[in-house]
Amino acid sequence: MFLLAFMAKSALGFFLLFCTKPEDMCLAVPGKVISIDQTDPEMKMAKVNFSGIIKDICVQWLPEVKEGDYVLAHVGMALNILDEKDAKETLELLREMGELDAEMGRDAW
Amino acid sequence: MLKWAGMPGDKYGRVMKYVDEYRDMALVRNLSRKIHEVTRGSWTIMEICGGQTHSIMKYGIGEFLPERIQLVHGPGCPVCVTPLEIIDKAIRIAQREEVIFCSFGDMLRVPGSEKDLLSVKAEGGDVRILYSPLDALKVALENPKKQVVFFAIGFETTAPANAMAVKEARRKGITNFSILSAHVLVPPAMEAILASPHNKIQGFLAAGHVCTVMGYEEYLPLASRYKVPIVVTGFEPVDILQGIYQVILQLEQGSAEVENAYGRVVTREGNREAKKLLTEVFEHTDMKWRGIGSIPDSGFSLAPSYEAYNAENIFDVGHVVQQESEKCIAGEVLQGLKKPGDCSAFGRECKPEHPLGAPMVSSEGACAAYYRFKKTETA
Repeated sequence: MFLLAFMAKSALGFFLLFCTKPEDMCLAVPGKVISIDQTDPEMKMAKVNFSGIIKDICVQWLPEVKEGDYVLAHVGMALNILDEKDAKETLELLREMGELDAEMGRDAW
Repeated sequence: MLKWAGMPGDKYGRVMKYVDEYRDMALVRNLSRKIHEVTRGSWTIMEICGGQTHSIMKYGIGEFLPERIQLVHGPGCPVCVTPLEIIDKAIRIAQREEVIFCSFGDMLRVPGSEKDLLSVKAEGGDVRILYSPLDALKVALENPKKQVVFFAIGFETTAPANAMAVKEARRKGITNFSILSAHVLVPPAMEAILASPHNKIQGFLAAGHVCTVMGYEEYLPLASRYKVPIVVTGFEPVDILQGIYQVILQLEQGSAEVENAYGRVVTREGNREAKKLLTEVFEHTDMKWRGIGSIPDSGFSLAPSYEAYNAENIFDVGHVVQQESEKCIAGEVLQGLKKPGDCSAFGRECKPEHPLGAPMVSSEGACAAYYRFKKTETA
């Protein structure tokens, strides 16, 4: 039963993630690296979790990649490791932008 | 009127890290307010990438901008600019008995001169949709008696994956695999737009995922030669507004620099390994862009050492007579000279179900985005 539910969920997830917009050629999505398989040194592969959907992604172009990293994947290839520090700082900066305005007494419309 | 509530997560409530934070309505409003504060002049900004066009329409980004800011959509839709000649060749190859023709999904509905690849499939041709060019190698291994051809199109984002498939084919000795290659490059297209006497673009949002691979050094000469600010930009609403904000700040200050507003995935030099692979497998070539014409040095073709994997050499497709729809104004739309609503066929003879031109097929195409999100705006 659990297996069936899981299969249905992953099938739905797979459909949503990769089949609803197969046309978005420049669409690249971030996912978390679960494990890395280095059996073939010229074709390093990783299992990557995209919001619950696990896919095999080639990470050959990311020599520093490690488990737990978020990678940006496009048509089966990981293009880069997400810079989590940069992401956090940008978001904080954007949030502060609003807080500062609120302190200055401006409307946050 | 907003179709988007700015709630995190998709309609099933699943949150996608590093995606949903950038759909936060509070941040969108912060940026929108900042943009209103700094904007004095009237500025025309082009987003190069069709993925960004799609987001701009989907999230109604225009509604967060002052009226004097005009967004113009660029040619960054690979499906839209793949030359008709190549589509016709693809159709001829896919019709062959011995061929399994593999492609990204949306190429199947792009109109050729007489028909599309989907009709070839309906007529019994073995045409398959794949997620990755690497999957085509598996198909080739499983079908040793067939010739497997992958329709290798795309910009710099996709080209390395296609190169990887070719390199792997050679390494593993797979001889029944080839590609029909039609790769296009962003910087020469930007230069063609800037050099045109009709150009009205004053600033660019550079395509974030192209720059993830290529970095942004190649945009520095463009920014200084044509005095345009170029800001590397992502795809979510917050990313896009951040990019627009930085372009406007520069325009107001009279500067023309290359900046990176997508630092979480883009670095100055891009992905070194992917770039190295591109240089090994491909070489620069003049390229015809559908609806636009030939642009010097704006494409990749297979390097001489990989010519054995060129489907055009393997299959003689004969002479192809090309016939474009007379009504379609795709070329002008792709150059930002006209908006989809200016076309007399838009939403009438030309709809996503029966497209006259490629921009109505791909969700990255401006016509499809306008149709889907019900925009009738004209230039």
